[in-house]
Amino acid sequence: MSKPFAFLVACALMGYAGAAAAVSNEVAQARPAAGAPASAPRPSPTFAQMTDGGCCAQPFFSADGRYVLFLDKPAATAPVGIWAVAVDAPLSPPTLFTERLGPFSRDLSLALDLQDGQTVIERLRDGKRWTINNGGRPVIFSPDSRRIAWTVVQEVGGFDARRAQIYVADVDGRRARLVATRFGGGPLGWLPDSRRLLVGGRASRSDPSPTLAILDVDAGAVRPLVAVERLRGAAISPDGRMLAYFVAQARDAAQNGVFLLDLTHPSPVPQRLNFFGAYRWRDAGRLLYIPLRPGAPGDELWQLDVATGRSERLIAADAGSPFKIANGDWDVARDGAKIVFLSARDRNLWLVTLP
Amino acid sequence: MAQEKAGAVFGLPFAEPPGPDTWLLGQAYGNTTGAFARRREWYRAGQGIHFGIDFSARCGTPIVAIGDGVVLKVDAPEHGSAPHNLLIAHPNGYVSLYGHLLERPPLRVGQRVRRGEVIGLTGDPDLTCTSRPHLHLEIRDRTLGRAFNAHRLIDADWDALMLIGAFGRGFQRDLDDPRKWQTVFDQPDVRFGWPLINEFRNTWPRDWN
Repeated sequence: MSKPFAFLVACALMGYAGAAAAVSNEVAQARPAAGAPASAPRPSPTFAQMTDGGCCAQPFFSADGRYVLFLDKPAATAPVGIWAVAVDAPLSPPTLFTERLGPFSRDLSLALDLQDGQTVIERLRDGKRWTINNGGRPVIFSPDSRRIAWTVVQEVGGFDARRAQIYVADVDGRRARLVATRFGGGPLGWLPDSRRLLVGGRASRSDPSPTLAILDVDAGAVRPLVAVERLRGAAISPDGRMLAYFVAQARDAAQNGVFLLDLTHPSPVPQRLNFFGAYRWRDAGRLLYIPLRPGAPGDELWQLDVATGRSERLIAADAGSPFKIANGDWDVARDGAKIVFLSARDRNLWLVTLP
Repeated sequence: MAQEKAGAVFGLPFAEPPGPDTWLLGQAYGNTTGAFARRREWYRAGQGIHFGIDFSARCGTPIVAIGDGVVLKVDAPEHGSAPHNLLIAHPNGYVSLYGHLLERPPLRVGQRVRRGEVIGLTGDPDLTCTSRPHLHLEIRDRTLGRAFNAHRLIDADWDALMLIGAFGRGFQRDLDDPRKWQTVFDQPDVRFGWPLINEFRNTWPRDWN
């Protein structure tokens, strides 16, 4: 540990303050620099240690943002399940949230499971379970929890050329139908209307490059957006208007980087951002990001205002801060006010309350 | 954490820093979800886990030796990682294996190499250079029968590297002990040819088709 554990506990009790002064313009293309830095300094984020004893990996928030959730079995006699610590009660003993493990629908009303090789969905409210006839494949729930999509991927050939058949059904498994076939790609996520899927890959084997496209599953229509080679890390903004993604090791190095794409534009042009690193949407207009800086004393958290193109640093790199993320494990609460992360300092979960 | 750096006696296999134009961490060593799904095929030989570290990089990216040593084998198909591989024996008793190389390395058995010296080029196991070009790097013992958790032996900021690029996100859970093997540093060493260590009675993510 780079700092005494007592220091980290003090952070939790007193609220560790990260620096918040830096401002820059992060959108390299198309967007003009906007405005001067705010005159009054923004309040600093505060930190709270949520768990102890080196617990736990892959945290996420409850739909209402009141709980930090994680898969655990905290004692030999305890059930395995999703355990919870209330965000307003750091270091309180975790309580069992549900014995279902998910994946879950966005509102956490439905859980996915595999039973005897069959895909099963359970409605957590009343425990009703039903089987999806899809060969035991995982599904992705639409945002309104009324539809599911899954992919049947060819098991042979290069990963960039494998046929992916995309199926959609009602959440009860009825009206299952093949809605599209892509090669070397598949669904990247539902748009908020639960009617359209963002898909990647080639439309046919002979296509020279993969294309990002929006698939209307009701109309069966595909709207190509832009050709993107080696697209990864697709993250749709909460309002469905923007996509963040990254490209690495493309044949044309000019294509590499983190990009934003306006999904509402009829002919969107990717906007390269002036950083490379991890990112999550805070809300419809703000992207949180952590530049990749190996060897830095800690992680930095920045926030990009998409409308203005202006970035500001919310947390500075500091060897004394718990903000050094392990495993890439971090999640943003639905209300955008909080982050939970697994700290590389002590392997515990920490909560950041953002200004 | 400090103890995780204590045994890090090797360097990274690239001279350039990580980034979108150079290389990124592709798949960690250990019981990754991706390896678990292939435990009975690709990774059976290494007890079912990913017994090396994958670094994503374009075909033809220069690879450097992670430590001083002597070339032990060139193109040894019995150790996997086709189409070309290279093994270097190090004076500290470890052997590094560089797999999925683009071409046969221009080195001869017994030749001395220095840490940081270019020893080969990255390739693609699917031979297309568009499917999944990457370097597969293992660290074994001198008998070649045991693979070590290479994250513990290579001096790098693995936490930073895990932030972006990994394609086998997260580690598979043994639901009888879900905290086991959940970071890059606590992944187990393996012995080749020994039984699988991840045939869990109950596991998560589920063993999807």
